[in-house]
Amino acid sequence: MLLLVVVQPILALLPRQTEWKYEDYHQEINQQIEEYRRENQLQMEDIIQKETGAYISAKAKELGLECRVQVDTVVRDGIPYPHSVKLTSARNEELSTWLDSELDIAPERQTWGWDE
Amino acid sequence: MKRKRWLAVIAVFFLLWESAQAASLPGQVIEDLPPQAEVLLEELDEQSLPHELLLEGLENLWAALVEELESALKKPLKGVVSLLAVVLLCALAEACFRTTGEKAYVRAISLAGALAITLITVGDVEWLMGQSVETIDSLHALSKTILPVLSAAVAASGGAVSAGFRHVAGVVFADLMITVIHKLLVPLVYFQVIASAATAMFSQESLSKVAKMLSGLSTWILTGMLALYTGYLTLIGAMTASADRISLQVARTAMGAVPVVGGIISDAAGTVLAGAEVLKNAVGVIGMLSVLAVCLIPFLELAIQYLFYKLAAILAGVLGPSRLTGLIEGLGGAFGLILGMTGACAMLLLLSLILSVTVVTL
Repeated sequence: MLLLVVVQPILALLPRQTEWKYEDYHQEINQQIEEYRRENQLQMEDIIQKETGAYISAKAKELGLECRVQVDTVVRDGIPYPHSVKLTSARNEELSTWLDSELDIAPERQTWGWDE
Repeated sequence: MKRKRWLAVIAVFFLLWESAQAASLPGQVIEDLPPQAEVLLEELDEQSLPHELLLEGLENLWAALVEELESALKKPLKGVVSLLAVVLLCALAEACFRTTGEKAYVRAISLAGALAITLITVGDVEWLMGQSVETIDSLHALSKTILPVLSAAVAASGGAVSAGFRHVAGVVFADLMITVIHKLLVPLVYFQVIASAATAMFSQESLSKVAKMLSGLSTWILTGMLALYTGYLTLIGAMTASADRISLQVARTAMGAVPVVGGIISDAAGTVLAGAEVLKNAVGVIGMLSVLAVCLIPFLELAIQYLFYKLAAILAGVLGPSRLTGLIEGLGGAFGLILGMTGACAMLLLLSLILSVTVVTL
């Protein structure tokens, strides 16, 4: 009898509490995962912008141009791709063609003579 | 709000961090940790790699353990010596009255001896139960702090599928275990103490059987829950690991398919994943060290108390009446249960942390 008195509260408590808490924690953890995913996305965008910018700068130097470059990205299927570019130098046809063919940045998305 | 702030801290750190050589400890995570863990972690070098953090932390824990050992050994000594003194006195008194044939006095001596032993022990039971409950509550709070962060870190390092399943289960199981301990096992321990004392005082063998059954039930519940959780983690780990690897591989293939840009994107993804992997390991190591820091001293005190009572039961068996020996054994068993409850909670959390750190998805 005494044992039943001891055990009874836990039998009443367990099923309701477990169901509620699972949903609660699942939601909280999913929110945290989503926040990390967004932070990762931002970091990836930053790295891609910097590395693509460095790649373009190296090519520009090869062609005898001195310029600073800023690359902007666009997210497609969750992956950031280089989308547009701003260059401080005057327009160079060879570089423009290269940007289109190598990096898929069409001429209409290239900004030349960009004032930082 | 606090969690969002330190997530922002982690994000800023990652944006500034270029070389994947070391991961700084997320400063705001330390603020949410229990005080015992904070003290330990403040001594660690934040620029260390995760495995260096672990070794440094374990060294500090070992030093703390050695420092506490002497006082932990001295604490139960007075109580155990008192117990043995009571047993010896009862044995002498019983021997005297047996020779005179006065059985009523013999029974009264047993009753008085059992009462004295219970009174000596009840203070220790209360104190150690308080320590254990406090430790378990600290572990519970720790699980709610560390597991969601670790889950997010595992997801960020490429374990998106496994993170959700594994760590939600970890937090839920921890909650469940704590609830069972508070609502069921703690009362059962007190019940066992009472049943053991009543058996010794009134020679009720049925109560002795109830006490043994309760002890077995408590052990069964704790080991059952741990076994269930371990089985779940193993199963879910096996099922989700391949899903994580496939989704990572598909993403890498899709990135790599585009010439030049694909290479840049793939490199960027690799850097981000590597950074997240180091963060995951750092958070996992912080978590493990925190669990050990919270449990260390209480566990040491409980283990020593349990061993001393077992030793006292053996010595009492040589010196005195079997009823009093059985009582001391029963009380030692209660300490063993309290030790088991604390250990089970710590083990549950450690399992979650270790399995997260050992998962490699890159």
